[in-house]
Amino acid sequence: MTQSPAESRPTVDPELARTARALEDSQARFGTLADAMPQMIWSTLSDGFHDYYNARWYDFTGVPFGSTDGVEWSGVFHADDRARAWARWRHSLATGEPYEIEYRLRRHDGVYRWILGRAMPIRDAGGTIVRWMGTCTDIDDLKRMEQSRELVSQELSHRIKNIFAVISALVALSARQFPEAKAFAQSLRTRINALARAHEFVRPHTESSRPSVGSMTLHAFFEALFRAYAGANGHSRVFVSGDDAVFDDQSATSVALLFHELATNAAKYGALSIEAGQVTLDTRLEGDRFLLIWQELGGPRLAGEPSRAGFGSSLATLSVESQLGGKLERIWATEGLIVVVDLPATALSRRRAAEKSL
Amino acid sequence: MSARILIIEDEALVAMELRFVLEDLGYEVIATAADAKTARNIARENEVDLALVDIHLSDGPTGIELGRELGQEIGVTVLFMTANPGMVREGVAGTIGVLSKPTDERAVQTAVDYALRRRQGRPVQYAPPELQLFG
Repeated sequence: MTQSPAESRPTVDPELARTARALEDSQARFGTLADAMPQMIWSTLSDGFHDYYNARWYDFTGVPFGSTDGVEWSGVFHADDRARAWARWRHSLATGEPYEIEYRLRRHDGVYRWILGRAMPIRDAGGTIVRWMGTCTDIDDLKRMEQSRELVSQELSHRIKNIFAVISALVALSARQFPEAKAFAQSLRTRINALARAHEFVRPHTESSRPSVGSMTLHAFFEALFRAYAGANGHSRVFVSGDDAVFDDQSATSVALLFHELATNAAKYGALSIEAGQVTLDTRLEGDRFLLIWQELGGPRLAGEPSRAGFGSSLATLSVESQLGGKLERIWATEGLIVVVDLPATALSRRRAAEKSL
Repeated sequence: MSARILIIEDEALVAMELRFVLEDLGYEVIATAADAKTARNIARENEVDLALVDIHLSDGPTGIELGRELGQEIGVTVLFMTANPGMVREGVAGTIGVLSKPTDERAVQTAVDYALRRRQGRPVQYAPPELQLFG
């Protein structure tokens, strides 16, 4: 029969012996529990010196017992992740903030797996940190799924872009068979092209396909859309000013169709139908509303409201009121048409607003 | 003699419509190619004045390098036509510029006219607004 270390001493205090046995018992139970966990568990002294790893750690890394004690743990981290992990760990040690980081850890077969490393401090009665308890969870499969989903999303977005181009070409080709439909085809095609252009601004992009850094915005979209209405020597005829905004795929169709209609009508009957004519488009955030004010100048003098709203006007109104939940007002001033679009501030990026409110 | 144009575009319907637009304007479209290799072969074996090059072709994003080669090594005047003009943001040596898709017939007409004038050394007033020039 084996004796515990406490009992083998010549003189023994029964109280001390009981405490020593209780401690051994407790440590044995902890060890059993920790080794039964499916995750890797580790622990450090308050200064970050690693002095405990459970069986899972040794199973996963395959390193010799005790070889990753102290500060030797970083040796099994991927070289590119070491600096980042160290910085984060040092920050936690200094501030007491829970430690959390994703990094690659070398498995016993040499393969690096993505791991979520986390640790919490254990404090004594006075609030001082006496120990850190941490875990490592294998998240490699999850990480790879994330990456492949990202790729699929980009691939899909590229295909959608191609479909727009194909549909536009099909409309034009079909019109060649029906010369009497040329005007209709032209009208349809320009609307499709406006949608395609807006889609380009809201679709997921890779680094290289993105139009340019920081220009996935409303004003940048306007700049692209109105380039076609430039004057004879290339100068812009639609002047955009005010607060810029980000818009997402849910509002892209409405934004594209609305401004396409306004510009087309201006080019046919309004300020853009005369070389000297111009449009100012001022956008501004006012509290929880976003306003867009389109003002035509230098075009033919208007004789008041037209007797019948064209389909295009209905499309514009529908886009604003049904899709975007806003209000559209037309003012038939004699100097030129003024259109005021009043939207909830979140209308252009509803998805983001919804995420924020969660 | 009307200018000879090579269309390099992998969406067949888009290429077809572009061909009709150019022929209506009086140009001669000598061929359309969907990938870089075919385009190179055509350019080497035929007289080509102007190439309209999409960036994404059936063999990947090979249009940029192809455009450079056609411009610098084979002496073709090159205009990129793409929905991602950002990919040639820095310009491409030996080529004139990039036209953003979707385009309309008027933009194509003025861009092609501009490019051919430069090729022939004729005076140009300004580039159409849809055409982003390099250099």
